[in-house]
Amino acid sequence: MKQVKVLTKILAANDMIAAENRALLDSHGICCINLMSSPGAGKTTLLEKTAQMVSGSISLGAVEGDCATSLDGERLSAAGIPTVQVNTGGGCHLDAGMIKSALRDLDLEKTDLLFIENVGNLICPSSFDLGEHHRAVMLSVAEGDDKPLKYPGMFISCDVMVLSKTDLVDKCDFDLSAGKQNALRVNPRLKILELSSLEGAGMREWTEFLEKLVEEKRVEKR
Amino acid sequence: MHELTVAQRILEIAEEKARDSGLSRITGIRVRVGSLTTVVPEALDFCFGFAREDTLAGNANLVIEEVRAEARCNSCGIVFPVEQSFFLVCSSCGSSDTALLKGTELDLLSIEGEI
Ligand SMILES: [Zn+2]
Repeated sequence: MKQVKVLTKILAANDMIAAENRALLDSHGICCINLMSSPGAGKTTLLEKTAQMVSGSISLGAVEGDCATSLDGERLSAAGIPTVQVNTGGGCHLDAGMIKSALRDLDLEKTDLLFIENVGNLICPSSFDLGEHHRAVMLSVAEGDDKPLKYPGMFISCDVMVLSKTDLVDKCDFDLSAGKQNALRVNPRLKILELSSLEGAGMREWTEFLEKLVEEKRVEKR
Repeated sequence: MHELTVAQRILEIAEEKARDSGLSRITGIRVRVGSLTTVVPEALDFCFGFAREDTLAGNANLVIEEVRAEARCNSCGIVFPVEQSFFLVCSSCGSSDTALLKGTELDLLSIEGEI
């Protein structure tokens, strides 16, 4: 019997590829946001509306991750966002290797802001660094204001929270201030943006936030 | 079930290290899992059970060391456990200027086997 000490990070292989992805994005001055949420929180709709609003000022790109189908990817392409579809074949998350291959199919020279629309799931995606610069979790008011407490791992791993579907707040049993407070209890550093993709409330703050991130990247590259 | 991915990564690394050390068979693997990793130890153990088939670790035992998350408050200096509902807020003075010390570990610690 022989014992061998190893001490290796189990996701080291993933993290190494993630670092390569980040370096590649940096070299092109691209800001990358990993957008995560439960299924149906409204990620695709938000990106469609964002594309309309920033058209002409920010060149978007997207990597669309889904277990199966390319339905969301088709919606993003129809909205004018160059999109690479990644199907995980039942897998619950994207990993850095999938993003590495997807980046080969995007025109990086023409992209300012890359969204990774992760598989809808509040648990697994948070464990995998993809090479993004920012992690955003989207929580819709249709879901319950205790979600941050139930899935703290996700909320603690993010720097931005998008509180979506605020137009439905009166019809849902969702207390806006409790939802925000719960998120901040889990992670006091979260930047919270409230919006309704359908009715437009909060969308201006969202796109201004994105413009700021893109500008920061541009300055960094210079 | 990202635990399956994690179990497969553990086995890949363990097999590579076993070959480097001249082990023909892996009988035990020890890992460390932090409470903030979203890796559930029971689920990892379950996935490991079938992922190990057809590897050098076919009958290996998986030992999971769980690490509870802790943070340090930069205002008052205390080290406090990171609880389910009060994550990074200091349990003593309420400051949110805190630094995570433990809880995000996901490490392979050692393997045991026969030459
Ligand atoms: Zn304190």
